[in-house]
Amino acid sequence: MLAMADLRAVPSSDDSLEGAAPAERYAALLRQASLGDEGAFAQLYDAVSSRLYGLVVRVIRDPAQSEEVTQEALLEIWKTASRFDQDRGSALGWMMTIAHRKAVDRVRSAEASSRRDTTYHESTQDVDYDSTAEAAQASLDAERVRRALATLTDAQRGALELAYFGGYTHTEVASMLGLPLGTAKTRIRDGLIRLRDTLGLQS
Amino acid sequence: MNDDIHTLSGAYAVDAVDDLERVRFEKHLSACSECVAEVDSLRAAAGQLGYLAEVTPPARLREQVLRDIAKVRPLPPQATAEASARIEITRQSLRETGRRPRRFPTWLAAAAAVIVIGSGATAVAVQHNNQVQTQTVAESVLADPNASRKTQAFPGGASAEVVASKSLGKAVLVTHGIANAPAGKVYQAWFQHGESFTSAGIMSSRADQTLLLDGDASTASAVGITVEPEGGSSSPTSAPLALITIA
Repeated sequence: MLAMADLRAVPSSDDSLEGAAPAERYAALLRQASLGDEGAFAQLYDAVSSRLYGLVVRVIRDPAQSEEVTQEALLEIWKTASRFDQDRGSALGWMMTIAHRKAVDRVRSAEASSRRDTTYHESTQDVDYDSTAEAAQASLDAERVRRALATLTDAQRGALELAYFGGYTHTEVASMLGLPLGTAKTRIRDGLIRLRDTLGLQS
Repeated sequence: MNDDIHTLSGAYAVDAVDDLERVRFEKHLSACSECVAEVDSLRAAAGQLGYLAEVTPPARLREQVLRDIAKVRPLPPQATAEASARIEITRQSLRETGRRPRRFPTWLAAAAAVIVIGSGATAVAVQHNNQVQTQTVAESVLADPNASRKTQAFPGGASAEVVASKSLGKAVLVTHGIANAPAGKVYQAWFQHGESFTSAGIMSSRADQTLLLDGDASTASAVGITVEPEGGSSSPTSAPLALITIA
């Protein structure tokens, strides 16, 4: 990736990031944003907004509320960009954590009933990519994650999906699945550990 | 390491914990670097699940966000922010008391369980800083023999005491063994006047602290403590963890 950047005749501070690996690029953009660089944040938005919004929609389901919560999450990312610590994880992971927490807070504070009564038409939320190269990369990534997820036991995967995409607490997950208290907690953790190890993320 | 709390790492990493568990686990995290590393790695794994959920947001979101950020100042790094929090603290133990916990309303009983047992330090140590004047006021309040003293005890040994001096018109909040507020949150103190609450200051993250409350204590009927977003709120956004009458 460095080699690619080196090929550029006159790397400007913005454009030199284009050739960097996404993780490096996001971290660098976050750092620029923490210094008040709105242009860097716009680039970051273009790179990650579909990931953040997609996750929030998956948890909240209602598109209008999801938009609002994604907006809140992005504002929080802008405000707290200086607190991102590269030693503790990737920039994207940090942003996803913020968006997930916001989404979960929203579904738990709102009347839970409204969410569960809303019919969610996944087919209308199809991914709309600007670039076919990006789409290809994204589907490769999705395929990689799907395969990793398939290595979990059904019990682990079920508990993890209810927790992560459903926004339920482990106690709620246990009662939804008719499990003894504490069992869902263990399944979620075991599932995440297996996912992490299969994806080759360091522990 | 407490094995039971350790196994909460996965649920915590995906926000599948309730508020009480979150506070307890964050308290545990502050003392267990192994769990911190595990949570970080499990969050990274969970974040990858996002690849399965990508959806392009409506175009207007971009405009809204870019318009929003233009109006919001990015925060400085954490350490600086803490240093600049305008809190004047001395460290002091509570007097040894044999007080029994009172009966709480149900919301308070639930909230009180958040307060985790702290150290049993008994030494009185005044922390030196530049706020000499403020400390003097706090010390004067604490030394006033006519001051009213009310303690809210919590299960597990934590407590909050309000010492209010009529003659000085000031009150001091002394806490003991209070667990850290959840990440991104702070404890904020309030004076109650009738139905309204005015901010009396934001508490630091110390378990044991003495905080001189902002505002006139002589007209207030009670002091409340709530959990608020970092930076505090202009009015309480959650039910008080404690409401201590001083009138």
